[in-house]
Amino acid sequence: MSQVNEPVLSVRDLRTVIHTATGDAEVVKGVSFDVARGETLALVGESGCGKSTTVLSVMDLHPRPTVEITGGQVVFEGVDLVKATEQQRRSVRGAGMAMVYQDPMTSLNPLMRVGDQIGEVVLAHGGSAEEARRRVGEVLEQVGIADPGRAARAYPHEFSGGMRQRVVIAMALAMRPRLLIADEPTTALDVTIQQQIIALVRQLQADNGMAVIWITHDLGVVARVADRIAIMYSGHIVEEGPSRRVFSRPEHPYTDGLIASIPRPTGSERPPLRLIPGSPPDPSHVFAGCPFVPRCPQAVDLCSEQLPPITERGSSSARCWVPPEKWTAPRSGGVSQQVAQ
Amino acid sequence: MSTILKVDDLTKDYPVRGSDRVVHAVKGVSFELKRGETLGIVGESGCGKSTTARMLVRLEEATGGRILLGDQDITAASRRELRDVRRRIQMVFQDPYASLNPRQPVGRMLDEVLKVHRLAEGAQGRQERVRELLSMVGLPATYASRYPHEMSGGQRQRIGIARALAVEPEILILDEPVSALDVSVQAEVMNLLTGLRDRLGLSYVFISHDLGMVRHISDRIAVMYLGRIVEWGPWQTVSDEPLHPYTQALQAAVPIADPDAEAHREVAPLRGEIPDPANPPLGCDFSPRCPLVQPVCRETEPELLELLPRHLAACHVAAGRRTERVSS
Amino acid sequence: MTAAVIEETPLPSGTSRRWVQRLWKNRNGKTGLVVLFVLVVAALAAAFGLLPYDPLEAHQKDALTGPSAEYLFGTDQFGRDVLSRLATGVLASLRIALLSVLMATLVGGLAGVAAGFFGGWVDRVAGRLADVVFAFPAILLALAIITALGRGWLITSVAIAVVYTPIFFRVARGPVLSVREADFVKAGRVLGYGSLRLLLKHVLPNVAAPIIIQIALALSWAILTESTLSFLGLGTQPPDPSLGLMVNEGRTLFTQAWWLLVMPSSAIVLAVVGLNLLGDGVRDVLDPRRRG
Repeated sequence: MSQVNEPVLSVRDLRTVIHTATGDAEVVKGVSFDVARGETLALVGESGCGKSTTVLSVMDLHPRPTVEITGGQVVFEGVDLVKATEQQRRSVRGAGMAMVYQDPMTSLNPLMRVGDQIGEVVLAHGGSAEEARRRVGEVLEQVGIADPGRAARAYPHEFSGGMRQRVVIAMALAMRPRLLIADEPTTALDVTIQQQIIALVRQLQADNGMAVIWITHDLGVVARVADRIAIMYSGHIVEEGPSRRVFSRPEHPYTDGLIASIPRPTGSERPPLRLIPGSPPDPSHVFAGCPFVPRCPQAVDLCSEQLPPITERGSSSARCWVPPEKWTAPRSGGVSQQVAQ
Repeated sequence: MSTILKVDDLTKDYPVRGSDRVVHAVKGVSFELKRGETLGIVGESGCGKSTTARMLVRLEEATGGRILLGDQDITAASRRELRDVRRRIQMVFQDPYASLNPRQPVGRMLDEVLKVHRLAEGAQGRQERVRELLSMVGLPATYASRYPHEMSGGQRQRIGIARALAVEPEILILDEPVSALDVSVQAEVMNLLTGLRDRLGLSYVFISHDLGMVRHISDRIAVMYLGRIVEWGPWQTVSDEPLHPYTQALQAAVPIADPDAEAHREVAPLRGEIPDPANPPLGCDFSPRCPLVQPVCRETEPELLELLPRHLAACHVAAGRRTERVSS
Repeated sequence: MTAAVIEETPLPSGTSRRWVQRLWKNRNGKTGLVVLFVLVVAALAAAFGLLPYDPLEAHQKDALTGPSAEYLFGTDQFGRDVLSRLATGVLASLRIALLSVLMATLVGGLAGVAAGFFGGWVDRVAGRLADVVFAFPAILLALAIITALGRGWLITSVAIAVVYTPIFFRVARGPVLSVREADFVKAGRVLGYGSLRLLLKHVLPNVAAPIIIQIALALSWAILTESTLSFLGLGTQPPDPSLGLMVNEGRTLFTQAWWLLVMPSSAIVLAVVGLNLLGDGVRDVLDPRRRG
């Protein structure tokens, strides 16, 4: 029995390169994080920040040979998957850890009955037909589908978007994974359905102690689901810490800017939104110093010369040369103050 | 404030392919837009908000009802009249990648609008106006020679806005104008939109699924569900103290970017899903999902009534509470 | 107000170069261009009489000589120069291929664009016609036309054009259907643009790429079809040289004179592969999203 604090997944200095016609681009530039049992880590970032490539690398699902892991470790339950044999990796993929994608339509085979698709996962990992059949019923029930028997015989198109995402989650649960990676699982769904899916994942987590990595760009969803947050920007994790701490005392100007750019949810004042000038850089762009410099209101000369190291700041850590007490430009002051106003 | 646009009992039916059934996508929508006002329309997929938007600019023909721009009915405008209508009411699209012609540099794109509507004197005059339009949306004049794929999403959306402004319209229909943008870029476009509205005295119909953005920019908010407006009123009361149980559920479902606030907001998710618009429930469309449902809700369709000053809702339960309060 | 003018972001490099130059930089495109150049030079040489020998002149005592300094590609059973005949055959093939593809593009492409853009009955009628033509196996249809109309290079061109017209119809119609629904076309409507302006300035430029790619591919098929027809004795007639005819003649003498089969076959393969590569190259270059 593992201790609560012992990480299920431990990623160290992961580097992933995309080979393109115009050259190689390192899109994951030395990323490290842990996820413990029962914990939800939100991996937050905008398009092209490398968050999806990071988890695809972790899952060993990155498209080869265009995308290649060039360094680092992905330690899942004590085994480094980067160095592991293909057989070891395959036994982990889909069984030890499973993935839920953004688009529930394209992640299901439209020509195969839902029950067969879920059962196939069990069969592929050496389960018997009897086991597969039993498991299909169990997981469909777990994800709150009313008539599992009938649902198993239906095709994906017979379900609505929200129900389809439940089916996808059921499929991910088939082998009782210890880690669930959810890549923007609610982005394609309506907000009332999003609420249902979030509640479902939390319930499942409470029941079986799964660790969850939840990828999203929506800070609202982060606040709702995350125990801890890792903010990615241009291939780096620029800030990492407990959810409340990151929201109330952001240590990186990018985090601070993201929080400030959201409209206030309450109150009668509606000041102009604080914005981060410019747009996220192209993933292939190479920076001498900190990649956020061109958009950073707090930057000093050093920032464009040298990539800042990760520094511990209380329970958070950030990749920034300038600590918040030395910021010269106005800051959001964290979300609590913003809401209180 | 004078009314600039009045929508009256607007409906849109689509035939269902391979059957004689119809989908009622928009079912008797009425609202008015005052000069300088921003009306936010919020709702989930299939609620009819985008269909309504497209009917406002005649990209979609209305099945019934009227859209009055002054005393001109847009739904009945002839081809020639439509040209004038389109100088007064313009649209900004959701996807800044799809809404710009990939083979046209930005300068030529804007120049074309000016040429078609003869809006500036000669090539020189048009060039000057293009520069002016670019600076209005915060882009340097050098961007005139750029192709869409040479710009970021936020920059493209600025071009989409500049193109709509080229005809000097009075009304902009904004159909999910920031939904396709990165979080950090959304704020920039929102600020641009509020700034332009205040400076040019524009009126907006701002359509979005994002209650937070709608709340931020609107003067009044209309909430749509399954083709109907279910609530309509001042922005703050609709978003913060909604009358309709659907709006209440919607508001509760939108996560707040604050873990402490979220921790205190344990609300049970709304059950069920949006019904099939080709096969709507009897009575109130929301009744199968409504936590407050009463027998009457499953029988009669509630009317949109003014329950509070200038605050309308279509709900038997909310209306009942209102009567109780008045009589006691 | 006006939000502060945002800073100019750098342009991706290489966007302003002309597309022919970009084609040259593309590996497929370059190979295709080289092949096309060789074929055109051979055809021009044949057209302007710049060949080493008259392709029809028999040198009886040199019959069936292998490749040598005197006859680079050898001679055939009548002592005619294979190189000269090959060049003349390329001229004949290219002439037929270009003419037939031109006709197919004009008729099929225009019909496809109109059908896609206007929809309705225009689309239904044109679509049915295309289906009917498509229903016949290509070679059979060409054979039928030639049998009905007689032989000769013009009729061969027409026959091939008829076969490829529905392909161009479909290649043009599909993209027009999707571009017609694109937001930038809708934006144009909202801006008050007329249908003709939308079609010519906004839809056409965005469907040109697949049509141009199709032209390069169709050229290669047309060469192949012409060779097939000539091989079957229905295209170019002897004694005029043609690639297909030469393959047919060389086939029977292969054991004695390999070059009679290998040279024209290689020319066909070269032309087909080269034009296919050119098509791939053009596709890479014409898509603005693939540049740089």
